[in-house]
Amino acid sequence: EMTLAQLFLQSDSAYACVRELGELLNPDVNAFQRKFVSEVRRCDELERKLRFLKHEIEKESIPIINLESNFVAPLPREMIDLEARLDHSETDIREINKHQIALKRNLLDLIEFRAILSKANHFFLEAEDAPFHQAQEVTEDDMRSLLIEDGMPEKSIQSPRPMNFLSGVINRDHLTSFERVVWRISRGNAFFRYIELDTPLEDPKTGELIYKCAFMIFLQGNHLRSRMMKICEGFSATIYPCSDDAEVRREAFSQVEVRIQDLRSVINETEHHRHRVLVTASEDLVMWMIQTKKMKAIYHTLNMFNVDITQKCLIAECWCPVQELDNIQSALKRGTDESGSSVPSILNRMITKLEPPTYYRLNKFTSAFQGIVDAYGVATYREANPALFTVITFPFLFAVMFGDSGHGLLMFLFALWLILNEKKFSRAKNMGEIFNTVFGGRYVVLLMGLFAIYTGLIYNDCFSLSFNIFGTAWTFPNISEGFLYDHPTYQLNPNVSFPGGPYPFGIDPETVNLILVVVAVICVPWMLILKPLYLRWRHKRRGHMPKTRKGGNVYVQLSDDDNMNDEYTTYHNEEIEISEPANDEEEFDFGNVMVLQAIHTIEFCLGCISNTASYLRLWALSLAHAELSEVLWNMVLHIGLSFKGSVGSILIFGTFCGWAGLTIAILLVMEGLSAFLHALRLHWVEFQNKFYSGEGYLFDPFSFDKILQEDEDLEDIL
Amino acid sequence: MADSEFLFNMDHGYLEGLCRGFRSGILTQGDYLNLVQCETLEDLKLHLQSTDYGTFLQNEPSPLQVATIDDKLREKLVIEFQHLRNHSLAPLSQFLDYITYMIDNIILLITGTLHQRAISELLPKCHPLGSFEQMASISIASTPAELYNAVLVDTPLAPFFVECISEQDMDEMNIEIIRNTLYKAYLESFYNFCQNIGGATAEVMGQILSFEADRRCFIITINSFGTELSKDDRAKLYPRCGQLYPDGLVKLAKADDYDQVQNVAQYYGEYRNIFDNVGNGPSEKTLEDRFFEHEVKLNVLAFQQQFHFGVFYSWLKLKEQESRNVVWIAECIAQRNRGKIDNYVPIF
Repeated sequence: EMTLAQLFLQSDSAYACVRELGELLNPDVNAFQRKFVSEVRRCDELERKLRFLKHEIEKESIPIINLESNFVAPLPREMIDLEARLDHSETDIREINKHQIALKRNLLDLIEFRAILSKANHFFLEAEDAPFHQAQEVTEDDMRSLLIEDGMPEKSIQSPRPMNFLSGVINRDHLTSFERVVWRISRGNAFFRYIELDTPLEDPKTGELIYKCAFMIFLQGNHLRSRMMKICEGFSATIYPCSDDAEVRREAFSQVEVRIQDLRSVINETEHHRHRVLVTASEDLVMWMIQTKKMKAIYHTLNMFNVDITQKCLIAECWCPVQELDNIQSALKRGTDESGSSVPSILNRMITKLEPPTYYRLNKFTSAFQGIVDAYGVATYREANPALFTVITFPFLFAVMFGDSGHGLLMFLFALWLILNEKKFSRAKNMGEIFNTVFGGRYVVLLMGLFAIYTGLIYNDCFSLSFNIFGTAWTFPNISEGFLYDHPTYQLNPNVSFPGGPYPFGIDPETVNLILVVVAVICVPWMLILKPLYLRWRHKRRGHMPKTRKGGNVYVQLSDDDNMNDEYTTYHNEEIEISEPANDEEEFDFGNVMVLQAIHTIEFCLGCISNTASYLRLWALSLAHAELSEVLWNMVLHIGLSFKGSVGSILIFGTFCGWAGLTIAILLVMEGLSAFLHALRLHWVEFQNKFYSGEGYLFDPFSFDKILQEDEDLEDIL
Repeated sequence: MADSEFLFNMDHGYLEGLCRGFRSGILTQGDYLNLVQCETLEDLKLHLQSTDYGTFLQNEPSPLQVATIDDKLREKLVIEFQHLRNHSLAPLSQFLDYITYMIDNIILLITGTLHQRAISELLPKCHPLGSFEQMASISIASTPAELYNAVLVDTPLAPFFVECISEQDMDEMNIEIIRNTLYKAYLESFYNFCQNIGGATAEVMGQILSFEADRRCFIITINSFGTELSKDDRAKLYPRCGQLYPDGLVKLAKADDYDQVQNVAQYYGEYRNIFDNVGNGPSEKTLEDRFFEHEVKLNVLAFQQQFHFGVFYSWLKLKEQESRNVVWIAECIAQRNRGKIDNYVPIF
């Protein structure tokens, strides 16, 4: 039973109260007004910092320790502490990162420079051999004169060469277009050579590996050189000064080598430091995250409260289960005590004509069955809940179609395994959608397996084979065929042929059948006439009842503060006034009800006839299942069994594997799914449409557990 | 090309659905009302969180800058667009390639180089949808011919650029002319491309692009008053794929002042409405805003038809308008100048 209640909270104790409520689980608060936007924003900021920390921690691949996940939401004054701590760690890490990036950039530059220096020899050699050299061979004189005319130092002659060249490093992906542009700008008058660097370099900012190439451009003229510089800048290639003197290069190389060593050790040092900081942060990360989430949820809820005129208290309406009222009251009291406020918070039951939400107290066993019903429609408030029947009928109807005790046993064992390892599986989150679905319905599967064993025993089917477990109960004396005709008692007449009845266990279908038909027939006049009459009678009786009863609701003792007291009382009185006319508005039109019931009755009768045909699927599927398993037995395993000797043993092994695989894939999984589907349909359509309207909506309580579970940031941690 | 519509969903149905989904995320009037009421940029962020933008600003440290919002808006748009582009098949992929911003980027870079700005400073300002590898080396070119030969020759823009090669040096005026010539060639080519696709694409895109062409004609004419651009040169810049072509363009080419331009617009129903309600007062809309409004209207209409590429173009344009709106509102909030905050262009 649900009730609408009004919640009055003092501004100063509101936070603590909601905090207590959140830990408890309950009321479903809704209303508007935004008083705590800035606090929500502060929480956002905290979350952002936490995400940053988490990202950094994960990048370092430090495990995030999560020993216990039960952290109480912090008090508002603790929020400042938390903010300060997070702020500190964030700036710390950012500082280190900045430092590290700068260092790494330095290192990258040095490494690139070293690469250039080591490759330079190669470039120069190539430059000597390649086009210039060949051209020289062809028309050496012409070339020489041409080159000299151009003001080009006599490169091709083996004289000391003050060459004009650029050397640098560029990303490999830019190389081709870079080369093309160089060629076009120089009109082919530049000699471009490159070598890929063997080891990929680390991008200082993102830490990604990039492949780079060292290149060298030989060219003529200062004008062209400055334009080349521009191109290099455009393609973000880094140019390093490189001497053409091998001796100088060697010296530079060893210098760079030393500097790289130094830098490496510094970087290692900072990395260690960073690691330490992150490890410390990772220890508290989960606690911080949970605390922040909870705080944010509290402020979000507080934002839904109405602020009253005096700004002193917050008011909200909420739904809460009547059973929980005491708990809520005590939670409110705890909240008030903790915040040290003198004015208590008040929970006030209200009478309303609003349709309350539907709330079931579920456990892990019933929740899956309730899920089956809720997928069709959430029960209208206080409507009979078909989930109760579903717990038994669903697995039973399934088992009628899946009747094979062997298959049932396998299914039962599988579900049992899931249940026994329940804790392990529910902790490991990302098991895939399909597995999660099966895991969520593990208790349904368990019952389905049990019932399949039961029906399998009735059908006397175990992997399509029959067992003689109970022995026959049919008395069968030594008789001839003619004797049977003469003595009808010896035919398989359930009434006479069996001593003690034909069914050693289970229910005798004949009597059940009779009872059901009678009930179904009684339902017709019941729905058509008795129900409307009863509704009218109830309405009339209520009309005569005195209205005073309505004020009598749970009313919590108010504080001594007179001022406040008055205010609350007026609120309270207003509520009563509002609720009285509300109840009277509920009109009763007997004709309308009659028509509605007539329609329902016709629907019911038609349903009884047409749905009976729908139930034929039970027979059809159980036949299909039996046939399939028999085919598997006859065509696969049986063939393997017919061989003898050593060949036979190998064949038996092979055919058994095939048989077992096919049994699991086809009979257990596919057939299981199809039987499940049909059982589902039989419940939704044939069963529930006869009595279940399902027009309610679910109770959505304010609960930290739920908020934490749904949060994606925490997903991989908890 | 009716059969292209029958087979449309086979190649492009998924992307069209995706695009329509993106469209549903465009802010509505109600969202704008909320945004306009924000006191600070933090409020704005909080409000945007409840829209399709979701958590796009969640990792930005406060205090928030307008520039950050702008960047993030663009980043989100670019990611969505590139997703569409990467999954598209011809001719949709070709169509999407047409909607990029290479011309703007090139002009930006040339102008920047002209003003002696460092290329590294200019590059981040370029639109990511129009970037190409050779872009950064634009600064080496000093004449259009050089620009073409060295840089643009193997980009998709090359065919459009051929007409500009004659210009001798690069100054402000010539850059403007280059920009407009490029746009003219681009618009005409895009228009023809859409007409060749046929079907609803030709119809929808025809309307949008001819409006775009006409808008350029009007604006070129109005902006040319008081400059040394001769009337002949001006007439060469008019894109010839709009409703104004050919009579309107002849008249526009002769126009000497704003009133004459307005007279030309009188002959065309839509443009008359646009010019009629223009004013310079604080509460009145400028001509530019009126054009934007009309553009938005055309783009919204594009979603009324199915099986055509116009939705992609319209979605991008609407989204850009939305970014402009959000940035405008953010600017107004940041500068505490709420008087003009309502001057955004509502979309839905």
